[in-house]
Amino acid sequence: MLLTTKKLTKAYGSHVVVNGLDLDVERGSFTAILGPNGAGKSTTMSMLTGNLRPSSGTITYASGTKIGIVFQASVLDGNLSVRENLVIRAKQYKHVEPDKIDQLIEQLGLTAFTTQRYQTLSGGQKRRVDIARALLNAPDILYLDEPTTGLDIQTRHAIWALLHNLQTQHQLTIVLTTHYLDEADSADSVFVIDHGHVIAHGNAASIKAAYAPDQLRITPANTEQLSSRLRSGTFKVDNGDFIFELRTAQAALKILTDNQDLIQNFQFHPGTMDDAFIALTGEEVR
Amino acid sequence: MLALILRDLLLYFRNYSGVIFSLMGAMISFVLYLVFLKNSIQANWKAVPGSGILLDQWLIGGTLAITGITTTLAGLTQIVADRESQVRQDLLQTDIGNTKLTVSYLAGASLIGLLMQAIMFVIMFGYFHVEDGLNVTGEQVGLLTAIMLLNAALSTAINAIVINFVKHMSSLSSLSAVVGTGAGFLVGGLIPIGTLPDFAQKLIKMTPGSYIASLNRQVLMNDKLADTFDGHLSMQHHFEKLLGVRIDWDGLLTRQETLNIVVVALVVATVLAIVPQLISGRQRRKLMA
Repeated sequence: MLLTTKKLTKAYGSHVVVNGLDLDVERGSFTAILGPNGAGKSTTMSMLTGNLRPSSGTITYASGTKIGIVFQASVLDGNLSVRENLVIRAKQYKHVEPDKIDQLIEQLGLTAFTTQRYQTLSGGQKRRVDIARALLNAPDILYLDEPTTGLDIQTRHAIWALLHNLQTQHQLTIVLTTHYLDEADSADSVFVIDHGHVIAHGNAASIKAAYAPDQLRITPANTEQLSSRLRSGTFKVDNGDFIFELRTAQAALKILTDNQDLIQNFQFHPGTMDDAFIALTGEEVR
Repeated sequence: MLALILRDLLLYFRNYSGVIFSLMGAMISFVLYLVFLKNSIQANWKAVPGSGILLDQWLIGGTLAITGITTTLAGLTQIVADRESQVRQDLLQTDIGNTKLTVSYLAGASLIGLLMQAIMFVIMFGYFHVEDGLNVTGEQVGLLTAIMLLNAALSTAINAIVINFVKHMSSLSSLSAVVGTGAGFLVGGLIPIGTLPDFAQKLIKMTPGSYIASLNRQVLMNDKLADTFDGHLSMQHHFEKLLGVRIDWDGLLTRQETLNIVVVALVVATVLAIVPQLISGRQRRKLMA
């Protein structure tokens, strides 16, 4: 493990923000920390990156781990150009390869606007520069705190592809917080946290399997006959439709084929991260 | 660290309106003098030959002291801006460390203070040279530059102490407005110290900047004073005391004594400015052993 936390806790007085968090992050993995607003994501991130002291618990990195951080808000200077920003930050590290900045400019596609002032860039361009800055010291683990919040869908996909590329091509370990559920979908490891607790952990598929059953909705051709043929309690009735919550698509196929003659129409919804998330954290708005 | 000092300078000078506003205190002093005060002060000194030049020199000395105070404060706003956003955290995740970061802010602000005093000097000297035929010697410029440096360092240190208590940019801009207008009075730059009531005089004497103004004035005015008063020492001393060319502590301070006071203030202020930073730096958790 590159990073392990044990019973990580942060409390302000009697208000517990992060409550006994146990996390494991494997080297080279892509980890998403998912949670609603106020779940403790940013606080967790601040503790992992050493910017906030935990109230109790431990954080253990493999020795010699270098970290890079992309902060939620921009931390570069608006009145400096992209290159000036990167050069000034690079000078604060003891060991940055001489051509590192050019490499990153190339790699992250910043070439077209290196002389432009940071404040004149679009949201997506800024984010790419932020990521370039976080990679200056060639970190082993890159933290991103809600990196795609406020970006349009195309930019989100581009940033996402970039991060995946970094993970797969450069064996970078990536940890990010998000409340976009589709982003968690492609992570190797997802921690769903709420009220400072880990309430689910696994890859997206396993979390969906556990918390977001597939849904089969059947419009019967003959309600009484179909109802008598099926075991009661395995379905709900909604507007004359029969609704089944199933573990697998195979189970749905079996119901459909067994009762083909009595079915007028059907819809099948695979479980989504949204469903899992709502099942885990509730409908309530905070 | 040099890169961070450069960053402070770039950010200060690229914010044009910030530069102008940081000179506001000095500009008020300069313009107020030209428009209102010069005539009324001069009227009191009609009998003294060349009093016009003496007053120009007096004004320059005080205004440079003000410039140092307001521009270094503007330079130091970067500390608050960086602390308010997460820039400080971002910088501290590098290898720079808290001490060097602090020193770079102080050095950057001092450099800004030095440059802006030099610019103000050129503006004021240019004007009075054309208007009143004011001249300076190379030696005076050399000494003034040294005092500008001293003023820049001292003002930076004192402002840094204050800035340690300021958490938000909004409160800082109010503070800057107060300092910008107050500095002129506190260093005795707008109105001659001798014409003020006792309490105001005490206040000015407690402001380190007024000793800087005094040093500036001594460098600029000493030759001219000696000429003008031509050995009438009691009259000269009265003039020096009234205009704050030399500060009165149970007798007028000599240039050396004034310099000593400035140096002591500089050392004390620097320690007070840096120590809280070092303490907070120690508290920062060291993650990567």
